[in-house]
Amino acid sequence: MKACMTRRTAGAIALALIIALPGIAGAQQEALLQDDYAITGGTVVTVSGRTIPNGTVLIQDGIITAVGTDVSIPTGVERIDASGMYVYPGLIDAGTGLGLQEAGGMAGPVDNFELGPYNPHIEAYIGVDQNSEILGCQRVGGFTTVVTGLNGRGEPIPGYDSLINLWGWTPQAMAVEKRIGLRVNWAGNRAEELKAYFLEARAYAARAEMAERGEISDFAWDIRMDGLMPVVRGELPVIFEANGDDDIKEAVEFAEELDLRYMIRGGRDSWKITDFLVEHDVKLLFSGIHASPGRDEPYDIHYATPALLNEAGVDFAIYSGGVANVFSLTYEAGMAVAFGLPMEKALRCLTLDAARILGVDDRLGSIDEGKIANLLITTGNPVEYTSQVHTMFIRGEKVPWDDKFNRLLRRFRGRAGEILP
Amino acid sequence: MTAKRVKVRSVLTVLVLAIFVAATWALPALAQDLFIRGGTVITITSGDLSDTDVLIRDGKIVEIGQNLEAPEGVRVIDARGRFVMPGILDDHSHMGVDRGINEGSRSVVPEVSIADVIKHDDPAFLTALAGGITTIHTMHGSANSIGGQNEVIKLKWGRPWEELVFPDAPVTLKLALGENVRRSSSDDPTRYPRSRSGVAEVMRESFQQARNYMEAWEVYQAEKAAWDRANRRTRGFAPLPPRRDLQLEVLAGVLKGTTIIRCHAYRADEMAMIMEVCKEFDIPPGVFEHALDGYKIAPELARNGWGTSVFADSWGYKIEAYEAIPYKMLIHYEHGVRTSINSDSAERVRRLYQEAARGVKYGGIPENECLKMITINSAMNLGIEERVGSIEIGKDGDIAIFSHYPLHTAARCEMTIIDGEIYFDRSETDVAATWVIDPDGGQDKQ
Repeated sequence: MKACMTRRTAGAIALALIIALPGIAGAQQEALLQDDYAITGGTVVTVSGRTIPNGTVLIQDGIITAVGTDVSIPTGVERIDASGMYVYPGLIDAGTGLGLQEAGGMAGPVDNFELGPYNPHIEAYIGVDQNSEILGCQRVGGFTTVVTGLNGRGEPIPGYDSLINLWGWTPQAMAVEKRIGLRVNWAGNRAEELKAYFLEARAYAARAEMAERGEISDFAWDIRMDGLMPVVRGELPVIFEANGDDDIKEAVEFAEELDLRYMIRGGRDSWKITDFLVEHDVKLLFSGIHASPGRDEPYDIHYATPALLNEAGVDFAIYSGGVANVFSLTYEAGMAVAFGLPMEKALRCLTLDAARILGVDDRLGSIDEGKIANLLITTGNPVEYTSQVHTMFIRGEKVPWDDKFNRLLRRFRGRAGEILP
Repeated sequence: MTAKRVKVRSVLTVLVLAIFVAATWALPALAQDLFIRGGTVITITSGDLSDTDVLIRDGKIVEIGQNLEAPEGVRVIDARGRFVMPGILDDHSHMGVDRGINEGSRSVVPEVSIADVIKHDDPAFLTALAGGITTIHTMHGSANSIGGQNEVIKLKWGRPWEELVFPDAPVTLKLALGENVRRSSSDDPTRYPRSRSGVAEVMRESFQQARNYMEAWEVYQAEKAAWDRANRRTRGFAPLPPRRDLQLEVLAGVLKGTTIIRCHAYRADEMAMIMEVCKEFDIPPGVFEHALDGYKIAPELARNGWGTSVFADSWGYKIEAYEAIPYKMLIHYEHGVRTSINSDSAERVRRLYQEAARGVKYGGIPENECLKMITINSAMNLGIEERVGSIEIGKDGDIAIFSHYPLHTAARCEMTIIDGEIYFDRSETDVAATWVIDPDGGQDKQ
């Protein structure tokens, strides 16, 4: 990420020098400087550590380069006054279908499944419409980064989920991780079949290595096996979707048996098996705080599940599983707070804990030097129902507030005259 | 001996009678008295009152004030440190409807009534109560141009059906426009109308028939009155009344202004159409359900006096919903369009206060105005604002008690009271405890 930016900077400077036309060079320099900001005067909630009143966050080349009260701001860096406001890390939703569906109810704009049961070579970010109106509107709620994925039609392996920023000129530029994990929809009755498939991939991986060393000459490349290889080698995690308590246990045992890196998503009944989850060090992405309770369940069980997981010491974050209303995830987090989850943990579920479970906390999830500059300037904690996001930075770029919600607001709010009879 | 036996028998009779009277009359009356002590009372219509008591007698609010005396024998609820607001209304719901949400055979079916298919012990009522809901407007779906009569009910879980019905609430009639009515999700729609233009003409035709029907009755009544007054020997046969028509009777109620139109509408052009048709027939303004694009014609809605009942921020689930913005409440509020926030869902109804908070998030609508959208505005949309929707002397004792200000993130409903009776009490349940939604185990969730 940083290397990429540096290359871009170097390239642009070189270009400016070579062309040596003052006008063009000036324009290039200006474009570059737009990436550098100093946010001053706000209360900086780093999430990873302290909260800094009247703090400064310095953003250079898309990266946070300094945080604190004693930050020297280089000349040419644009200052953004955040006094009276708060600075938070951008929110992360660890499971959505964003960019893959523009509107429901029709086949055309829905692009969230592939045919066939096993598609371990499919990558979600490829199909993300970077100009999706749906996607842009999630920024209004404070979301800068999401996992998106084909949700399949319940097929065992719908493909790789991708971690994307919600701003960028191409899906490639948006992608933080093109393969954040391979989605597997757990179904107990297909466990044997799935196991055989993974073992086949393991054998394939072994043969691929032998072929590389020149030990065999009849190695046949296979796109699906190739897709599965990083998973059976333990380089990338599997994201098992499992909701019933037995399903979750089976998926965990499956992963342990095959020695896979993994996490569980869904987790509807996770509250019933917190001891098991702690004992097995399960990383859990929980969804469905707003789901209606099942028959014979306490009325507030899904509201209270995050609190129960937290008290038991389960390692978890939350996600929406949504498309158009991903931004409602802050309200789900808020409901968990009303039913016992500490506010601090609720915020971490949408920032640092989500990043850590996804394995990207070296780059995202808090306001620390060296991290990607995904930041919010807000009126308060974004988990609080009434907080408003005023300004957003993604990879250090100040995102234009021109999403569909705000465009239509501007167009119709002040409407007057030409009133119908 | 005989005399004594008679006496015993009469004593027994009196005793049985007394028990009967106590069971059927005296006990419920007692239960409808409550004294709610010391909460911050969110009246909705006249500000927030701190450390204030509310006295409910016979199911009605009779006193609001500081340091009141709790009458002897009246149960006292300690609300100190808590927030006491009017019971929340959901004025667009389908809860309790046990199938039959749409009579889809024909496009015009005003004669059908949702009251005929309500399962009054729907377990969803319980989870709604746990979110502070006391009154819902449970409705037909949106498959029909004119879809039938809806029902306003109080969520008196466990009581007989007759007690749930909101007494004397105006009749409301569901109309619908757009993709659902046109059966656009069907590959081969066979039912007229198929177009928005067709829907408009179905409305016109229906109201014209109703007008003709009313006129036929007026003519008959005049002839009948003349015949009654006429000479008995020379007046001949009595005039025949028009054939009674159950559909047109309902539509006549709309023309007379006694029945409120509740019209499912997403797009602005559809709302403009209905406003035009209603003007042609002198039909008073009703309420647009969802009104997702209402913000685009807020001046027209305000000027014509139409109310709206909206989703706070649901959008994008189909093309009709592609321009719904969460700032719609703000624009309605600024233009003076009466707006309520509804759930339309047995899930979302449990947290309507959280939906209302979005009005603050999206554009900074004042907090009390947001709360109006789930209380008094909803009541006005249903024509029952004299009875519910605020905490005022004389109104029904419908109360929701929250742990924090209801738009605050930590807010949790602690108690829900209808007509002075407690229907939900969180202190009798606990996180992951035993208060299950389906104590009888016999009801299916929708």
